[in-house]
Amino acid sequence: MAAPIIRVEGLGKRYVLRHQRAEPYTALRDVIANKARGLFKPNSASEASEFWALKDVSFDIAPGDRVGIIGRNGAGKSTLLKILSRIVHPTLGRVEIEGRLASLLEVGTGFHPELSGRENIYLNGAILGMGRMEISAKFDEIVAFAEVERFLDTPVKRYSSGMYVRLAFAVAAHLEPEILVVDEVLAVGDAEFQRKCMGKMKEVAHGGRTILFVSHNMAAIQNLCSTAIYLKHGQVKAQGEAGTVIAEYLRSSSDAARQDLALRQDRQGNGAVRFTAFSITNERMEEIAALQSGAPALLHFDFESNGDTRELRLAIGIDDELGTRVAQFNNEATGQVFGDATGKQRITISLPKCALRNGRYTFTLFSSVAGDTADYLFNAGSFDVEDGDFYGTGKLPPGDQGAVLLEHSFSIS
Amino acid sequence: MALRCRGAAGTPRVITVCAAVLPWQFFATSFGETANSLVANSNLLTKVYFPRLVLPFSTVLTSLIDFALALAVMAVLMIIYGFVPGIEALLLPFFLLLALVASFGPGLLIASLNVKYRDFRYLVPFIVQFGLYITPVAFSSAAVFGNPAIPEALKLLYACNPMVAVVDGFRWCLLGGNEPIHQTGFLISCGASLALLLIGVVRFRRTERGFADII
Repeated sequence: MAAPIIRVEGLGKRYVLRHQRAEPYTALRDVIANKARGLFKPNSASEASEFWALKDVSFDIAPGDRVGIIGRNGAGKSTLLKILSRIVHPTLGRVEIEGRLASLLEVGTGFHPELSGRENIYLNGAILGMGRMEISAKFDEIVAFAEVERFLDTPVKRYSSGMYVRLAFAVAAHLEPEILVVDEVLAVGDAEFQRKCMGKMKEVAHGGRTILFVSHNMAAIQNLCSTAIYLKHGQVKAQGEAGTVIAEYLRSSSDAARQDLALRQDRQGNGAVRFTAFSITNERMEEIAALQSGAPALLHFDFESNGDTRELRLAIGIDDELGTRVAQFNNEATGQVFGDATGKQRITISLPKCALRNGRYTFTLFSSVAGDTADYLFNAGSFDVEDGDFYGTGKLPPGDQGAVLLEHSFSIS
Repeated sequence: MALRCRGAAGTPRVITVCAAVLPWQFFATSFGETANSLVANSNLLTKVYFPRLVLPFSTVLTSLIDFALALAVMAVLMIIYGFVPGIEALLLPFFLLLALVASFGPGLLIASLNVKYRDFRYLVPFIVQFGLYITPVAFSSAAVFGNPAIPEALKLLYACNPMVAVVDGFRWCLLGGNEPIHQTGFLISCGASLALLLIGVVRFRRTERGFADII
């Protein structure tokens, strides 16, 4: 392998999260006031918590590689690109880049809304590191690619978002950097333009340049990239040949229905019971990603209790996307009383036939022991329901007709 | 004519004051704009990499355009009053550079502090307002340094204002030898300018890595 063009070693980026901040920005007078208040109330809990957007990320990229970066929202993809573009500085680790890097992190980076398209091409090019001559030489090509000939002298504030993106991408793609970094920005253009962009990026890559490409569109990644990096919670989960990494990503993101609730801080209650996890299985106890209308499923809620749990009452409310309560599971209503349940426990709710329609549902967990709230987790988590053959007729119930599916039959007399 | 009252050593009063207002206005705009330059361009700061010093520096340079316009007005005034500056006027670029340094240093300092503590922007109008009273715009430096009633320590403090050297310099340049420069005061003032520039640049360089994170 040739000497890497990008070498990343032990990269980490820490952000400090501050809670309960009223103002959108820090003001020195507040800082001083808080310090002064702290003098009199020394035990006031620290309001800051840490968050590692990236942790111990290392990889090498060889010249000419086309690398896709995939991961769920919040996995650290954009942070990684920002560090590579030198916009933010890593907390730990180092990055070595050989050569000029141009990045397109957001639509219309460095566009000035008052300037015309023509002026913005020069401005944007200059910001991305192109000389005036270089831009002039490619000007026509850029304009043709962006398909904005007629609007060249219109201020970009009057552009549609699609035109905006096309122009931004056109400028970046016609740069001749050794490394091109593209964040998920192409989602705005229409299918035709996206195809054109992919073509351009392929062309750029075949010119021997290195591309880093973030996308949620697996087809695009597979199409364009030779290798891929899968980030999860700020760490490199998988890395290698694009197809393998994408398969790994799809597999691991499909078990997302399992949710860890142990770390949730926003709970209320005396803590006699604490919900710790949620998962869904089918009747063979195999974990599944989503419920299906008409299919049986088991919902499992793990909890811990620290002692006396007589009169344990559990209620699980199910809300739809609009926040409307569509159902509630309640052991009082079903007349089921649990005996002594100390330590780690699992309650399982058996749904012989899921009556919910396609969509995402959130659940709220409530438990009480002897009438006192033990654990209350509002919007504890969510699960998806996929459409299914509820009536066993081989047909899907018509979409958008009703919120739930009711067992019924017709008769005529 | 009533307007044609004479300043020190027979220069028209209007010209004397304008020669000081000119650099002061330049300072006020470039300092203010520099201090605000990072926050005003936060969208650029968080999206593209470029040497961060470019932002405040370019704002200082754009306020040079305002200065050029003001200078033209000044030239018109001089023609109206039939006032011909001496050969010293050729040194104006040097004093302009000094004015640039004097506004860039504190501007950088406030700009980098402003990223973290947004209330520093309220300091800017205050500095500009208060600075006007301790800078020889409405009066002349000679009246301060030559006044035996003012204690030496206070004179020293007065000279620590970077704009004293700039305004004195501009007067000397534009009004010819009519407004001699107080040498010690001038040097102290220049020193203060350079010191502030150094502090501003160091502070800026130290904090620039975090700009995109906290802005």
